[in-house]
Amino acid sequence: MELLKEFNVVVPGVGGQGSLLLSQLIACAARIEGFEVQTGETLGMAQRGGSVIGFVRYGKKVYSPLVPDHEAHILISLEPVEALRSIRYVGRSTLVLLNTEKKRPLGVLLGQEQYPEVKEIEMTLRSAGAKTFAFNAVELAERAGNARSANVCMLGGMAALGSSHIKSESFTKALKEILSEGLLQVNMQAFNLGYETISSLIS
Amino acid sequence: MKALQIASETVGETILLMGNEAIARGAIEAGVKFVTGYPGTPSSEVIGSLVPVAKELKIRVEWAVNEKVALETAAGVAFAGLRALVTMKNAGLNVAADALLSIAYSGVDGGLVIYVADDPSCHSGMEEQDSRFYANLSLLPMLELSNPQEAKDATVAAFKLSEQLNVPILIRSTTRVAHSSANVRLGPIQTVVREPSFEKDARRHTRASPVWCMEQHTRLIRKVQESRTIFEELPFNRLIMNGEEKYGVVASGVAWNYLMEVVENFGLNDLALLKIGVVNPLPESLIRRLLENRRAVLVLEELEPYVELNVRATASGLPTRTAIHGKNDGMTPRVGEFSHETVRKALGEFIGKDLVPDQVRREVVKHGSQAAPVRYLPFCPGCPHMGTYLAINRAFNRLRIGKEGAIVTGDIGCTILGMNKPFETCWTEICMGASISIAAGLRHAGIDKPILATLGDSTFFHAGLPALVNLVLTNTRLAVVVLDNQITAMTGHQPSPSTPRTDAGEPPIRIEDVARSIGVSFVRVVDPFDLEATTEAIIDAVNLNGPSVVVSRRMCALDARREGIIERLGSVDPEKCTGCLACIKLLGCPALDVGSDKKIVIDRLQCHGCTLCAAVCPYHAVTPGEWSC
Repeated sequence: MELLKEFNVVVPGVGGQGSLLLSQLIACAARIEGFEVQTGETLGMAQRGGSVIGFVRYGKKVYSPLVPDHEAHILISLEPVEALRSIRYVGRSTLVLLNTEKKRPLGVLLGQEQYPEVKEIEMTLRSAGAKTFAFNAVELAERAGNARSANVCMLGGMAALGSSHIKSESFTKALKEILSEGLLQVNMQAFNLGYETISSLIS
Repeated sequence: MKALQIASETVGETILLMGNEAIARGAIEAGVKFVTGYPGTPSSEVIGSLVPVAKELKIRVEWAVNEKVALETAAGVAFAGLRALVTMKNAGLNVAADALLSIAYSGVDGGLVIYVADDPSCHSGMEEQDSRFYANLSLLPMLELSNPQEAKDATVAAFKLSEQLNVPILIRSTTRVAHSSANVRLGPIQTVVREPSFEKDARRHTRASPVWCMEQHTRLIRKVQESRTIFEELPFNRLIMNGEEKYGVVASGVAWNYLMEVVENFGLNDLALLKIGVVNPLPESLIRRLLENRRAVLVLEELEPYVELNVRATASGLPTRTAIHGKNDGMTPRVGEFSHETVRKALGEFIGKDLVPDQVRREVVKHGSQAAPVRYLPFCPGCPHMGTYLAINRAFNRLRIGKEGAIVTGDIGCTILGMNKPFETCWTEICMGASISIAAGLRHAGIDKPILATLGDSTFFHAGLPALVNLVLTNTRLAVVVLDNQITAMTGHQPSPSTPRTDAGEPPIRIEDVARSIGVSFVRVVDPFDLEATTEAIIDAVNLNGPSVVVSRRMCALDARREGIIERLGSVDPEKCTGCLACIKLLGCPALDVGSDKKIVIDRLQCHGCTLCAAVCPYHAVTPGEWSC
C-alpha cells in the first residue's frame, strides 16, 4: 500500500505508563520503513500521574509535529478517559486502541467527580466518528510477564490493525533497536499478545 | 544507542533527532569545546544528550548553578578564543540578562552561541515569555528555528557567524521545535584545534569608562548593521513568490510549518510567502519585496507581535499601502501556542474562505472532553515532598491555626506541586528563589502569621542563597524549608550541588553547612518519611523569632527506583480498612486506589514503599510489607 500523504498517530496516557516510549517505538518503526517522521512530546512536567500526549506523524513529507483536529488515523490511548481528553483529534477515519485499565484521578476516588463507564467512552468516540478496539493491556502484559509492558501490547495492537503502512517486522526491529537486551524478550511477548488480541477482535 | 548516534561521523546519514538533540549535534559539528547551562524545560536535552559523549569528543560539558554563571563561564571560554555553547529556558535568559547585555559590548573571539527555548502554552508552567525581544535589548543577532534540521544547521552557522562578526549569537526555539523529533541529515564534524589566549584589552572588556563604553556600543551597532546582507541571505529566511500574488503571508518559527501544511492541503497557491528565520537583523529587503504590490499581508507568529511591528515599520516607509493583519486586529492570538487550527482560522479570515472544520464535530469534541474528570498533577508515588508537605499541614493543625492560618510561599520545580490537591499548601510561585524574599517582604509589610518558604535544593543554590543571606542580615522571622531531593528533578534529573558524586552518598555542598556558615542559628536536617520528626522541626522553626532553616532530605523517588532502592511496599488489611479514604485525602498518591469493596488498594506497580499512607491511616490498616519489586 502506498502512502501518499502523512499518517497521524496520537498517543495519550498518564505519566509513568510509557506513552513516551511508545511514541518513540512508533517513530523508530516508521523511520525503519523509510518514511519521513516527526514527533511531538510533552516532557519535563508530568513525571508521574499527569495527563500526557504524544504525536507521531510519518509519510512522504511531514510539515509539523502536531496532528490537526479530527485527523488522527490511529489514537492509542493508554488510559480510558485520556482518550476523551484527546477526542479533538478523532475523526471519521480514526481507529482507536483503548486500554481499559483505569487510572482514576483524585476527584473520582474522593467521590467528587464521575469516571465515565468504558462503554460510554466508546460510544462518545463512535459519535466522533471513530472505530474503537478496547482491551485490557495491563492484564495482557501481565500474561506476557511484566505489567509495565502494556504500552508494547498496544504497539502490537497497532501492528495488527494493518492500516499503519508499517510492516510488523519494522515494529519488532524498532523494539530491538530501542529496548535493552534484558527487556526484549518480555516485550516481544507483549507485542505478540497485543497483535493476537487485536487480530481476533478484528475478525 | 542514541547517545552514540549523536556523535556519528557518517556525513549524510539521516537520524531521528529531537530539536534539542539537533542543537547538540550542531555544536558537535561546529567543534564546540565547552557547553554549559541550567536545566529548564524545554531546553534541557541539549546538555543531557552531550553528557554521554563529552569525554569521547573532548568537550567539557557541565551544568552550572544558574544561567548567569553559565553564560559568564561560556563567555570566558569564548574570550579565550574557543567555541562555547550555553543553554537555558526563557526565564533563564532573564537571570542571565545582566551578563548578556554586557558580554554583547565586549564581543567574543571564539564563537559563543546562546540557546534559549520559549514555551508558548506554558507546557512547563512558566510565563509565555517571548524571548525574541532580547535580541533588540542586547542588540545581538538572533536566529529562530522551525524544525530539528534547521536547529542543527543554524547552530553550525551561528558559531561561524559569531566568529566572523566577533559577537555572540542567540538561537531561539519553542517547545514544538525543541521537543519535536524529526529526520536530521548529518554534516561533517569540524576539527577546531586552538590554543587558548586572552589579550589584556581593558578598552574592550571593561565598562567603567563612559568613553570606552560608548565606543563598544557604537561598535556593536555597526557590526550588526554591516552584516545585514549576510544574515538576510541565510537559508533560514525564504521568500516564495512570483510577484503576481495579491496577498502575502509572513511566518516565523513553527508557524511556518502549519502555514506550509495548510497551503498544501487547501491548494492555496496564489499566496506570496515569506519565512523569517533571522529575528535580528530582520530581512528587511525581503520584507519590502513581499510588501510591494500586495493588497494585504498576514503575519503569523506565536506570542507577541514582534515581526508584525517590524513589518508595519517597513510598510510605513513604502509608497504602496498594504493592509497588515495579525495580532493588531485579533486575526491571530497572542496567548497560547499555534496549531493547524489557529493558522487555518486566521488564513481563512484573511483570504475570505472557510478553512475551519464543521461545527457538528466541534460539539462532539466539547461534550466528549468535558466528560473527562480533571487530573491534577500529583507527586510521584513515594515522592519525599509528600512527606514534607504532609508534615507542614500537620504542623499547622497542631498549632491550631490550620492551613489558612499560616502563609507558605512556594518556588519553582517539583516542590510547587504542593499547591495542588490534596495538599494545597503553597500560596505563591514567582521565580527561582523568590519563595524566601517574597515571604520576607510579607513579613516586613507587617503580617504576623507564621510564614514559611518552601523550595528545592537546586532552586536554593540557583537563587535562594542570596535571599537567605538577606534574611540573616535583616534578622527576619521566617522558616525556610528546603525540600532536598538531591537532584533537579522536574526538568529530567540533572545534578544539583546537593547531588552526591561519590558512592558514599555525601553531597559535595551541604545546605545545612551553608546555612550555618552564614549565621542561621536554627538549622535542622530531617527525613521527610519520618513524619513525626519533620512535623516537630517545622513547629520549632515556625516558633523561632528569627530566620530558621529545615533541610528535609531524601533522594528523589524516581532516582531511588532507578537505583533499585525500593522501600517496604505497603499492603492493606481489608479487615481493618474502613474505607475512610484518609490516606487518599491527605496524600493523593497515584499508587492508592479504591477497590469495588470500597477499601483501599495499593497498586504494587506504582508503590514505592514510602509508608506515608501507613503513617496517616487512623486504623493502622496499612502495614509496610516485605515484598520486593
